[in-house]
Amino acid sequence: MNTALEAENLGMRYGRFWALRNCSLRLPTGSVIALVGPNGAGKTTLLHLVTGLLQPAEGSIGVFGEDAGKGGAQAMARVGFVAQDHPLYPGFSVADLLRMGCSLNLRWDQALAEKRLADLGIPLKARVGKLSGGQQSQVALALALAKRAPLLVLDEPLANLDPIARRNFMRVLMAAVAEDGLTVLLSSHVIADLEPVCDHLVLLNQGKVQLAGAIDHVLAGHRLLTGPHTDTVGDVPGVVRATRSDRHTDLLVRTDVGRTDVHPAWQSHPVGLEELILAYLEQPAVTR
Amino acid sequence: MMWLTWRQHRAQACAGLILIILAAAIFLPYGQSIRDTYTHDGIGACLQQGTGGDHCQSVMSAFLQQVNGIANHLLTWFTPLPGLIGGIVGASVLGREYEHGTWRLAWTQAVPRTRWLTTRILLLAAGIAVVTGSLSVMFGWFRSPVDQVSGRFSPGAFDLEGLTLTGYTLFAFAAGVLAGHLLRRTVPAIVAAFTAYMAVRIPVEFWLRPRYQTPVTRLASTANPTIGPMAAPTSPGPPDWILSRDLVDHSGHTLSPTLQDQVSQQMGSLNSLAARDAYLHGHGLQYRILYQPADRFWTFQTIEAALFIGLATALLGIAIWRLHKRST
Repeated sequence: MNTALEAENLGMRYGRFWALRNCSLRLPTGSVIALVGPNGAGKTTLLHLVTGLLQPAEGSIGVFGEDAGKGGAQAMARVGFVAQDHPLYPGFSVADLLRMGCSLNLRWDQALAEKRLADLGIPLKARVGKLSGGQQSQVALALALAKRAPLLVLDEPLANLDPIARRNFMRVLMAAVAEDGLTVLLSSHVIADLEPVCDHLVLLNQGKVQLAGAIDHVLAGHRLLTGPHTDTVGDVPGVVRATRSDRHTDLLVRTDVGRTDVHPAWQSHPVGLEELILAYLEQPAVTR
Repeated sequence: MMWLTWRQHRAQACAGLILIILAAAIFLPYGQSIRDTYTHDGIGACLQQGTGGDHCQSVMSAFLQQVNGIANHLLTWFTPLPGLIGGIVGASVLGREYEHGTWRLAWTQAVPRTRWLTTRILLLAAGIAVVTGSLSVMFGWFRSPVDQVSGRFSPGAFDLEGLTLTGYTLFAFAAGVLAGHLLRRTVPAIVAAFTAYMAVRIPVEFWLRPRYQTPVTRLASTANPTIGPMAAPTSPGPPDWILSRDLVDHSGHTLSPTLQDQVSQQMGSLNSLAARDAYLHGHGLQYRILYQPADRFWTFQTIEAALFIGLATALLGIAIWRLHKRST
């Protein structure tokens, strides 16, 4: 397994506030990674560290073996980035933006960018400020893809887009990923947006990684146990979250602790990704 | 980078060009008419020989009266201009990128942001120097007949001719760049840059500039007014910059302020220059004049421009260094 992204004890601090701490990750080449967490969890901070916009306060971050924390041209050339709200120069024409991309990058695929925009019916002469939000997000994506970078990073790419624009954006994105075998890291606070396309998950909460890994693996590693009402669940190992109603108790447990068989009377179900994530987010202290 | 800088600042470049054209349209015809008056009234001849004669004094006074309005007052309006030009251009470098969030686009291409900023700063500084340099040349030409009479150290001349205008504008530009980085907003950064510019520019003009070099002292035994913007020169050659004029007695001691006031009042009641001079002579009084010689103009210009460009370099250095840290 080739590593696309490797974080080692990564931390970022604004003044005395740690936005991200003790973050260690290793994500494989070719994966599509969902970075999930509530607002203020540190998602943007992590993405800005990956793109070299921020310099780590501690630890290191590597992209295909290049130190992204140094902000050098070689590391920057390996990451295509669409920032939150897909910022573009509103006074530029689309062609101006492409020319900018061409002049600021080591590699640049002008033909690819022009073809993508033509397919979407976005004229090169159009002023960026006059385009719709959905079209602007497509222009931002086309700019990032034209860098021909092996890693594509997108910060909340679907926020502020209407449902049709969301669907179009994801369709274009996934087509590009399939064509070029890109590694994609994209963030959202809504997992439903990302679940159909992602194969890896990084769950960030209060500046800490709560959960990271292949989604299949993560799901297989958890079970939902349903049993009679009880107040004592302390002796059950690997409990992530316990919810009680009058009649029964639901426990979300990790299976890797190896003793789910201690409750023969309890029913065991597989757990859905959204429920699993919510369970972890409700318990910020639990990490795996 | 060169194309991108041009694309992002071409509106400002056009505004600079329009400013030059407007200034040319106003000041070149007016400068020509000043030149005509200068020749017609024989002021050049007066300056070369008998500047002290009654005829020449009245001709020069009339000339100054006529041009003072536009030459000094109109140009006074140009005092805040370097602060505005520099502040607007400077604030747009980083302030606008932060305000629109486009810094995240600009600095995630493959050009490291320090190189991005340095290139942009150098190109913009060159552009500013071209615009302000052209304006200075134009102002210098326009004012040159007036400068022959009232000297190149008068505020309307010293602040606009030569190198100072460029120095001021570059300083305001640097303040705008740094303020844009710190405040992350365009308009507040312009305000901050303009405030910083005025806060440095005014004390430099009124306090520091007279002290660039030790002034020269001379004694004069005539009461002919030689200070103030309307003073006509009393000796041939380019006029000096008179800093102060005090009455001294025959042993060279300065009279007390109350005594000086009394003497001025008594002399004010005398109605001819000859009578006033005779009064001074009769009491053994002289004027001690502290001045900067006219030939120090370029030295002072260089010192003042270097001061402002030095400050600008320091501010830009801080901005680049802060950007290099990538901590916010």
